Amino acid sequence: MNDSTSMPQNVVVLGGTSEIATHTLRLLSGRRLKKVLLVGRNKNALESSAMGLESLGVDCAIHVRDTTDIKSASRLEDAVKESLDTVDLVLVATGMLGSSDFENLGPLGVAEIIETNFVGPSSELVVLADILKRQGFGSIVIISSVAGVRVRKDNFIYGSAKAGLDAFAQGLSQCLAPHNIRVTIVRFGFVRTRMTKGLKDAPMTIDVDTASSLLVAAIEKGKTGVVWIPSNLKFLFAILRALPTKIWWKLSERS
Amino acid sequence: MVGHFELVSGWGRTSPSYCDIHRPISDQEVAEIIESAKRTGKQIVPRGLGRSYGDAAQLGGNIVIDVRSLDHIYACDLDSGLISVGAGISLDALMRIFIPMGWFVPVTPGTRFVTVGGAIAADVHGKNHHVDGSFGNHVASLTLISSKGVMELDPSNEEFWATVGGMGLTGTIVRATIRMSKIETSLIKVDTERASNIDELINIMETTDDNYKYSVAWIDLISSGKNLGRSVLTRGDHALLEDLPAAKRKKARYFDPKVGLKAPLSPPFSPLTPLTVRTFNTLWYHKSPTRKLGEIQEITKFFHPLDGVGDWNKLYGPKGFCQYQFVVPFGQEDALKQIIDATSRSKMTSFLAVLKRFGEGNASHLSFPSPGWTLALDVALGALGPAKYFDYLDNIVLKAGGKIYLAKDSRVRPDLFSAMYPNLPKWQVIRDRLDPDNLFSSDLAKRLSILETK
Repeated sequence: MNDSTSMPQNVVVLGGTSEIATHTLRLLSGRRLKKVLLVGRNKNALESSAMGLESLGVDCAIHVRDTTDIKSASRLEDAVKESLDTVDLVLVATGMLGSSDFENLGPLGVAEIIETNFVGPSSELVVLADILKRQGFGSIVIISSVAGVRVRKDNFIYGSAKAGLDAFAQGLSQCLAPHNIRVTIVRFGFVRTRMTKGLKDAPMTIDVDTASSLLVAAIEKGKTGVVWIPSNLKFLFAILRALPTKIWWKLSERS
Repeated sequence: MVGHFELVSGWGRTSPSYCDIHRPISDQEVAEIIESAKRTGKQIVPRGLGRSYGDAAQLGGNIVIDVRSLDHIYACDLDSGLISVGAGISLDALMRIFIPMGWFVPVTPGTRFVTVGGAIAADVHGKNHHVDGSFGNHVASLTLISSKGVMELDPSNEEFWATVGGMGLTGTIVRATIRMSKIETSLIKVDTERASNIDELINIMETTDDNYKYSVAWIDLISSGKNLGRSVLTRGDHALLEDLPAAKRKKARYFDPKVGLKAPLSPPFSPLTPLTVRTFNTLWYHKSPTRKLGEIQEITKFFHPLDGVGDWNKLYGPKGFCQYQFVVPFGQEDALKQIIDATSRSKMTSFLAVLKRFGEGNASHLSFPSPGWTLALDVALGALGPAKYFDYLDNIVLKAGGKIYLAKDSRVRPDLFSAMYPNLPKWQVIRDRLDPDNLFSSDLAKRLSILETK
């Protein structure tokens, strides 16, 4: 159950090996977290994430996603039922930056990035939303990115997939609101993680600890709708979004 | 019986859930709902007027038995004050019917809008706890429909005491026989006095509380330093006919309270900001008389001042609020002071904080009242702070050998809850006997793992 300060006990994480997710779960384990179902593609990585959480006293189960299996979605439903009494929070943290060199990636490479960041989590969200609807309560937190807000050539494949997920989440939010399910879309700026290793910092770069503690704060405040982390990105991107294309190109070229 | 889905929450308006609401009009229908739940594999929680603050009377995706239509009066003996009623009747209705006949409810919480069933399930207390104990002490018998069928229980049964304070988790209470208390008038003779700090307050209450049937202190939790814990103490007894001026004696038992204006639809933010609360607390303290004896007050003003504002809970804004109530044993005054001190230093601003002395507890396993000091405070939610602050208070309370009140709770740690209620395993044994199919549960029970045996 969620308590009155929005702290969840049972959580499903899509992208269970994500660094932001792992750090967020660590923080939640100090609050009310009891049990987690980690969903992801890499069994070994999921198991080591689970081990880390179990050492903090959190019960963990894992579910290995198989995108080639059309029954994958219904297997997810079974895994949730088997491992959790209630689903208080669904945290969508799936993320694969990939490259934006589409010529080298080829059609399959591009499709993989879009599949991982958009198609996979969206279709799994449909399954999870149905579970939440039937239980009569719950929250969904979806990690989005400013990369999808104003797209630039360095990460546009990832950015476009995140833009898709972000839009999907906005629609889902409206559908689920009458069912007492709160959807929060968290648009992160540049966070220093494994995924962004080796890249140059962007304005308002934060580390993963700050990112996850701001995320938990947003949950505790009961925020819904769109949340920007850090919050000033909201104003920066209000400007960036309004820039004429040519100026934006020049600007993003330089970074 | 056909139900319908509705979003329900407690009085604090936090963590709502959609539940399948059934509103039976007879005991028979309650039994039918229970039987059909056995077939469909759904779980059940009974619900009265929804005055528990947290998630005690809701069960997401499952069945809520709304008992409010079980509101009959089956028998009343106007000589002994023994009445048999449906569990869905409210204390408000009982007062309207029986005060003019010279009988008052044995215990009333701070609102009249609770059902008899809810009052038993939460084993509610009132300002007379130090003299009369809690609601369960005045129940002569009750009818429970559990998953094993209809049971008549009285205080000689351990199932009775598992149901009193059992938060609706043993079954649905459908009827109860209650001993009312005799009164001559519908008025209260009240002594009001101020205490300029917590030490003075503790001293006054320890030495003179027992001279009154009713006693409670309102505490300003914002003032600090030498004003720490300054309070207004109101204590009283039912006025006798001779206490009234001759002109008033004719209508001495008149009782017809009006519920005033409703709070507007939930405001988008809480008007109860630190500044307004601080101002209110200061005004309240200074407008109260330093000492005023024998004032004749109406029951509503003395017991239920907030019932005059319909839906006052909405004033706490869209994110709702938490009422934190604990008791610490006598001798643990330092823990009480530590909490009052911490609250006055913190940014938490409590609009209402009341302190009371509890008398002896009863045989209920999960009942809240036990000898000691109980403090209740309200905090608006939706900001960072309250969660960790309440966790901090929990630790002080547990260390002092105290506990929190389930009917108010919406956030305690499950492991701390079970440490605060050492009789929980005993209660679980009796409950499992009453409900072997695990048919009864609640969001509260799930959140605190109340039904999970270790």
